[in-house]
Amino acid sequence: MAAPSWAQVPKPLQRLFDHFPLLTYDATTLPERSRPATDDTLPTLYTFTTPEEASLGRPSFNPSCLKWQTLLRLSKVPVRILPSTNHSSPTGALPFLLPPRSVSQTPIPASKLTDYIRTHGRPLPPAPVTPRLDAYQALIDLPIRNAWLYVVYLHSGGRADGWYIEPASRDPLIRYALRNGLREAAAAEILKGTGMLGIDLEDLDMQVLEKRGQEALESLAELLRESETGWFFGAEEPGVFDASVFAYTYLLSRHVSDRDISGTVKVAAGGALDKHQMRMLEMAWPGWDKEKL
Amino acid sequence: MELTMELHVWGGAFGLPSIDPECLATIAYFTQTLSPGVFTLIPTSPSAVPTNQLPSLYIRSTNTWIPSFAAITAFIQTATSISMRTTGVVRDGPPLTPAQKADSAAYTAFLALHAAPLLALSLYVSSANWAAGTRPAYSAILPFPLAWTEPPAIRAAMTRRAEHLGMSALDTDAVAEKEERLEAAAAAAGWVTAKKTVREMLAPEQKGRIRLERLAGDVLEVLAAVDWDGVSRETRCLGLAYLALMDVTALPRPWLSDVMREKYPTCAQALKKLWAAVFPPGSKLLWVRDGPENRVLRVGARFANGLIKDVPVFGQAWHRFWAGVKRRALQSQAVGNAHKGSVGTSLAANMLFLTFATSAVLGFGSMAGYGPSLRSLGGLPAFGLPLQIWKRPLSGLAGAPYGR
Repeated sequence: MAAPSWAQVPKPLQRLFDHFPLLTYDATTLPERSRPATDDTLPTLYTFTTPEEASLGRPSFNPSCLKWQTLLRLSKVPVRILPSTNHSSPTGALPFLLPPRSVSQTPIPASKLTDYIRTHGRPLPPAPVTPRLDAYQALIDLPIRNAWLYVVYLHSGGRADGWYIEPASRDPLIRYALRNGLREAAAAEILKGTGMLGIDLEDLDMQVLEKRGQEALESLAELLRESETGWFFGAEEPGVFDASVFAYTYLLSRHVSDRDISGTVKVAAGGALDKHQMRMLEMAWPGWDKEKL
Repeated sequence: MELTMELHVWGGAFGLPSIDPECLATIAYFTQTLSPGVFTLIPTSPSAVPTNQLPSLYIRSTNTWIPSFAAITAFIQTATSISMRTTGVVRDGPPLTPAQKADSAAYTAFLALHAAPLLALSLYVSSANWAAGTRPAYSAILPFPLAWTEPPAIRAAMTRRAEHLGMSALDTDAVAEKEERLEAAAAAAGWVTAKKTVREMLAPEQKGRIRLERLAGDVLEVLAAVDWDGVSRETRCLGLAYLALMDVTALPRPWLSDVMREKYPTCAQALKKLWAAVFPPGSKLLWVRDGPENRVLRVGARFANGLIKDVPVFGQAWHRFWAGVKRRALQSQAVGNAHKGSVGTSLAANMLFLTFATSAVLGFGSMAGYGPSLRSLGGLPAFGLPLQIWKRPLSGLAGAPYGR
């Protein structure tokens, strides 16, 4: 049965498509560099890092990524590290872990990583049951984090440019926009913690942020000195809290060595934090050259 | 040298000297460390002080401003006050061990990180408590027109602070608006709406009670274990301030004080003990209420600024500019104290002029922009009614044009 006249393709269009037939190409294959990430047998941890450092498995330059990277290494869960950005993450934040393709396609956000470690690796020591844990954790999450945000993102000589802006684009305009966005986000984070109304960052004394961070580090060093085992809260093995402290002490002493706060890591409570950091490196990256890490 | 310090703080509410925890802590710190005659309290709001934040300490003799609880307490302790210490004006506490110092720092950070969002949930996010408790309290604190502009901004900031707790359902204003919209749409479409179930009729505080109790428990459990005698005076004052504001019962939904009194009596007892030590019965605070910041013109300028701040895009830029002007004036004041009077006056005059000029320009601009459209206003439906109404297409055999 012939199609009704209104359903027929008009003649000129018909001739055009005869000349240039409609063709559907095959899906483009994934770029070569992403191949190992998708078809291997290792889970992949997406972090802020550079491609070179990722291939070597070196520590990330982002505190929260480094914390989980360290914990995965401590519990001997083999992972592949890949550089990434917040845009690729299902939760909007790094790190997240993608299990091997054959096992599951569901990404695991940082908040669920403890469970993953429990089922896939050497279990971590249980968290100590003391209200002081929450109080000292607050020291890391507020003053030390604020000090880190200040020295890395807001201070004019901060490292954020090299880490987050320059790899993203070569265009000066885009870099300018990214830099402003990054700074504003960091400032908003700091201001949210103060609970002040509509004040600018210039209203806050910025040097105070670093000073509060130094005081917080000294308090943590004091807590560490109480412990006889050399790990926080007298644990036999390093746990989540040790990793959270290490993530900041390691990065502060390696990457912002020109600031006062880096000196605090070295000297606080007779170098307790510095020794803790070295022993964490020894545990998590055994056999690595300390100078190169 | 006669020393007079003016402590600029948020005013009192719920029977407490201040509605803001840091201001309350500063007042508690001052009553414990300083003899009564050397400082006065000035109830005000951040828009009236050059530091843009409260608490702020103003020292008249040196004409300097010190913002924030941490900086003020540090100032009281440092060398500047050695002379006061020898004359008995400042009273020191017993020295602390390094471990006690570390604990104090940790609990101070904990209060700011966890107790403050919890308090924000109770006093600011919860619509019922805001409408019947906190907002009227601010209206009583602020001079006349400012109660229209400043409290909503405070609530917005506090809501941001408590955002990560995921209890935005307590803000029933936002939820009710959405429900009303849906109901109106359903009625317009001629649908039958189901009756509300028991669960739907519960207040959000009742629905979320278990989660609220857990959130409160996470914080109060830590605070209940604190040895308040073994921490620094600063931490003790902050603890007292947060606990006192958590314990406020004059609210329609006092879930936070309920949890504290029923499940964590240690906290309630600690609060009672600390309160009796800091504000013994019969103690009086020296308030000065009719300062220059409450003169009509200054209040007018602050009000106009609050209005301009709400203008999209421009408001933010204006607010930054104005804060910058205040800040620079503060810095130049600190440098050239000789002209303090003239600088202060000319600054106030400049700010006032700029503010009114801008609001006039803005007002004129918006009138000019809207002028032509005013004529066509008569044809528009009343505010709040939907402009576009979607009607269900008639279905059925007769009305189906595409059925064949």
